[in-house]
Amino acid sequence: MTAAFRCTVVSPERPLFEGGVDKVVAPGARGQIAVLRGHAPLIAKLDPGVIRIHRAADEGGAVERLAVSGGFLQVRRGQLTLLVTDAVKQDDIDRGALERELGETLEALRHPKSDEDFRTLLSKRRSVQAKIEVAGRK
Amino acid sequence: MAKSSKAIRKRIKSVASTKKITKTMEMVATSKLQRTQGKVVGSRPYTTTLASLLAALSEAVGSLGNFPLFEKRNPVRRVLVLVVTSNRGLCGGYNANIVRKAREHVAALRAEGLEVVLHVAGRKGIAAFRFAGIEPAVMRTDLTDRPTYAEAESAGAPLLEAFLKGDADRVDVVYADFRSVAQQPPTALTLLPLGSADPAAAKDAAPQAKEDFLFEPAPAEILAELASVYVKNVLYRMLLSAVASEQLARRVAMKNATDNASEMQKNLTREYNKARQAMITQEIAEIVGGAAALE
Repeated sequence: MTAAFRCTVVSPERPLFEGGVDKVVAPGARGQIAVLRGHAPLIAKLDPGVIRIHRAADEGGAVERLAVSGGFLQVRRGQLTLLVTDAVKQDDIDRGALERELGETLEALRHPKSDEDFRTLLSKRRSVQAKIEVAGRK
Repeated sequence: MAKSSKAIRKRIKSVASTKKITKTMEMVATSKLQRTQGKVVGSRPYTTTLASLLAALSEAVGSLGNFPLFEKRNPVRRVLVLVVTSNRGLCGGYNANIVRKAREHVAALRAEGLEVVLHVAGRKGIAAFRFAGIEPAVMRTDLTDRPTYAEAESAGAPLLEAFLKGDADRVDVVYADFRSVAQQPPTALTLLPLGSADPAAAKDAAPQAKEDFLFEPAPAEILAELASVYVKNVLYRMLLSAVASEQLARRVAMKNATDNASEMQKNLTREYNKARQAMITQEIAEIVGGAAALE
């Protein structure tokens, strides 16, 4: 039984999640980061991917998934704050559109125009794949 | 006489329908204003956290001056000025005030011997500059009255690019700063290099107890990414502020128009009644006169 701590997820436009959690797993730029209670103060960059939020047992204990295209993570005074951009919740996903987008991205990846273009496309591919992954859990 | 009372009645009708329109626009502007203010509130937690992250990172790396977006160039040769106006009119002096401020700002920069690249967003601003015989280098009309973060990103991208490529040594934004419902002065702020001005964030980033953060990856690497996100966030809040000011200006303008229409309606009705009364009096006089002639 893990102990709960506070977690907030905010996008530039509005707060997305706030509540007690047991564990949060986020796609760090150097690999997955799992944050449990009592984590040392940390600032990290996030890559496109899926954030998994394990709600505290007394709040239902459900696992929420959020696809993001990047952001930052901060643990400060035992509180976890995630700043995310372009976050999508499971319910708001249009799978068909995403798969088309993924197809287009993969096609474009075959003939990248420049190194920079290649990097943009790679990160786009990951962010679209993350969204599809979140959608797939329905 | 009959004709003039008919003409007055027609005018009363047209004033009444104008009033209905202005009244509706007033209500629409009010609701849009509320929605925008809600967005301002919604963006606050992100901004605060971003500011505190920036503070922690800048402490970790020591000096910010070496990071591209923080680099103060000396000498500054070319300044990019982005003027944020609205796409629609009927909002009183809102656009005129911003354009005036922008032209003053540009004139001041030129007086210092700097080269100015003018970017104008919003149909009204573009029209005003063209009318004055100034052709902006970049014009865009795709910023809506419901700004999204994506919009701010697309507006910010060319500014970041110009600054990083060295096409501009400084980026200024002229917009209406929504300080309160009583004050939305047109303001010129320096967006890039960062740190030159962002009163809102500085205020939000309350001094916090020092903590020894772990960084993943290295602080410099996070900072590079964070800086551009930060710029977009500042720009997003500028757009929100501009839209809120626009809606408020429109609400006030429409309120005045509605009040004027009411006043006009009152006067016209009075005039109409006077004309009607005069006609009745005249008819009675005629009848009395006719009866008197028969006796």
